[in-house]
Amino acid sequence: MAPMLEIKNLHATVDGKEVLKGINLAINPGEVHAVMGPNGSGKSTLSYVLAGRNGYDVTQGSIIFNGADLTAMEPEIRAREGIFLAFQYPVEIPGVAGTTFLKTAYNAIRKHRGEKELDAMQFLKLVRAKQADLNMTDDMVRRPVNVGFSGGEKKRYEMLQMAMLEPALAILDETDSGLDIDALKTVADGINALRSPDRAMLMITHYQRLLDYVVPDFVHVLAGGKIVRSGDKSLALDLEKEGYAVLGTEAA
Amino acid sequence: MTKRHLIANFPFVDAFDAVRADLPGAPLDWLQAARRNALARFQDQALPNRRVEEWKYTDLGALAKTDFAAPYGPIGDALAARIGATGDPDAIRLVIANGRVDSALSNTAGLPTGAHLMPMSTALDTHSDVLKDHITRIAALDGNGLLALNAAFMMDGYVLVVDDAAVIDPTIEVIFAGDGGQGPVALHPRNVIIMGQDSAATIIETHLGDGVYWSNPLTDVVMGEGASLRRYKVLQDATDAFHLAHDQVSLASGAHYKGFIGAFSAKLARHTVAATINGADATFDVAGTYLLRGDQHNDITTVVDHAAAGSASKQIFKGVLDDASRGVFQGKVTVHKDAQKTDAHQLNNALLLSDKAEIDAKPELEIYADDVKCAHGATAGDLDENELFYLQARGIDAAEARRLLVSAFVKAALDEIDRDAERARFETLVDAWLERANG
Ligand SMILES: Nc1ncnc2c1ncn2[C@@H]1O[C@H](COP(=O)(O)OP(=O)(O)OP(=O)(O)O)[C@@H](O)[C@H]1O
Ligand SMILES: [Mg+2]
Repeated sequence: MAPMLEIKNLHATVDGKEVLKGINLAINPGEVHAVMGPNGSGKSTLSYVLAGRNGYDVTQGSIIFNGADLTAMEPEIRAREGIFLAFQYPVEIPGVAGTTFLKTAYNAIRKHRGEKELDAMQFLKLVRAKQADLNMTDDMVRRPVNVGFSGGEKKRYEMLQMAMLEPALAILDETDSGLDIDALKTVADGINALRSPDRAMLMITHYQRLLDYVVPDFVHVLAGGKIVRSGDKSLALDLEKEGYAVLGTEAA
Repeated sequence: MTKRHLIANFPFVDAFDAVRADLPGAPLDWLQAARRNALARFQDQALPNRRVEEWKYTDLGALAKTDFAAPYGPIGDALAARIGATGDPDAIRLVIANGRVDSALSNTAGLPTGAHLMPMSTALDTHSDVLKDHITRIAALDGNGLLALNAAFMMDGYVLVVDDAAVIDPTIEVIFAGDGGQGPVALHPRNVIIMGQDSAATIIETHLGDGVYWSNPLTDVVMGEGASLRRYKVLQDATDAFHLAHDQVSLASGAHYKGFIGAFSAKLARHTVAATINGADATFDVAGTYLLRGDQHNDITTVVDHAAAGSASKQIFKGVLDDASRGVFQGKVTVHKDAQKTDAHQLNNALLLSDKAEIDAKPELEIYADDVKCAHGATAGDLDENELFYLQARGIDAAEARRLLVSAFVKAALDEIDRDAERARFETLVDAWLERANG
């Protein structure tokens, strides 16, 4: 069976500067891949390239998602096809009510999948159920998108969106950063609840503690725009002990 | 000497003697004299050209070249139907069509006691003593040819008088319609609002029409001590229409004026809002939004004079400009020597959705008192790429994402409207404008 996501020799530039320098990665349904690596190595860039952000240009290589060329799709089409990016820095959008935002997104995706759109009441019921799992209040869900949220609240709101939108491939960019101990557990439970044989995850993190809760099938180290090492969950433990020095000159 | 006016040969001006018998208050000698004086002043002043400082950004050239006649009488059926569908059909309403009250479309039966609403033509029959001072004072305003034209050709507008201590809760709806279906016409409505001591009222004005016409309304608002007025204006004029409005507001102590302008249409519009705060602790607030596309031009010019201590003024405008449209915001605040503890705040934010759109913002503060709080700000920018991408990354298409962001931008102005029904009405108009963007 072909992988869900297949990245081959991916080179990409950000505002003209080459940041990704030949990435190869295949992800199958049901798998959780962790990506670690030094600051500035290109992890968020990879996530943006996958989500289709403007200014992030693929200059070489290919990205195939469920058999289709991902690079040819607009960001909203990628999202509707099942790609979800939990942002490292979620964006505040003053004036746009959270419920309007989430309902518009939810129904756009349902429509794309040929499913019936939900009316306001049905939608609210669904959000209520999911927000409870993430310890979020009605007020937080109704407020303008991310406005006035603490760092940890923003991350939980990303997880609420993921739970609502039920993506095929979730890319979580440092969703664990900024979370207190209890919130980390809550978020990890949320991620685990979504693990399924049809769903894959690409989890970008700096810390082992998330991986204690959400145990990855594979761990990759991204350094200098390339994947310099791949292994199983024990690789993350080695890195935790030794730091990126363990990789020697490759990571420079 | 450089010329500071535009040459215009309007047929309606030449027809002054022919039409004046049909204008409101024809039997009143003092009014006939005032009209004639105003006409002479117009012939002297003409229309301002762009060498006149306050008209630097708004060019009346196209207006001056149009052959405006006096209005032809009744409006078309389609327009009448649109008036019927405007606002709450059960509301107290006065309809001024082509410069004349349309009694069939009006309904002032439910007006609470304490409020007196009538067209200018009726008011001049029944209350000419009250109006004389107002009309002569406005006729003497030495502004420009536009004011002089309104004074010379003054037509039906609305007169609202609210008695001392009368608090009028239901919203009063006034609809102005222009119909240039038989050729361009010039309309000069005159409105007078007299708010008694501690009185309160809410008015919503809608301006709409068909074809080429020029509406030149002049509104005189006198706020007594502690009076409170909400005045909302919806500009839905025809796409070929000209709208040049002048508001003259005076506030006694403790009075509170809350204005809102929603400009959604017209080819060229200018809203001049001039306020003089004569009494202590009065508040003058005016907010608005202008949504422009094509080659529309919208100018908001405010002139606020703080002449008494402890008063406040607040101006918040949000403009959205697409295509080759152009917006102008000129806000002048003067704080006179004795107006200590004045709090004046002014903000104009423009969202430029196209490279060809343009905004000219000119805030001006003149402060002669030393203990005041004055702030002004003007920004222009396009939509935030980060916000757009965040929405798209959730499956929301680019056009819808833009709509959400524009509507969020405008919301900050609409939030200034403190009546739910009226705020909802403006929200609907904003949504309709945004929908058309995708059509
Ligand atoms: N707009 C840009 N213009 C130029 N360089 C950029 C731009 N955006 C990112 N970069 C550079 O690309 C490199 C990779 O950045 P990226 O954000 O992908 O790193 P990261 O691995 O996610 O780091 P962190 O662990 O700190 O989140 C960095 O050197 C960064 O400075
Ligand atoms: Mg990053």
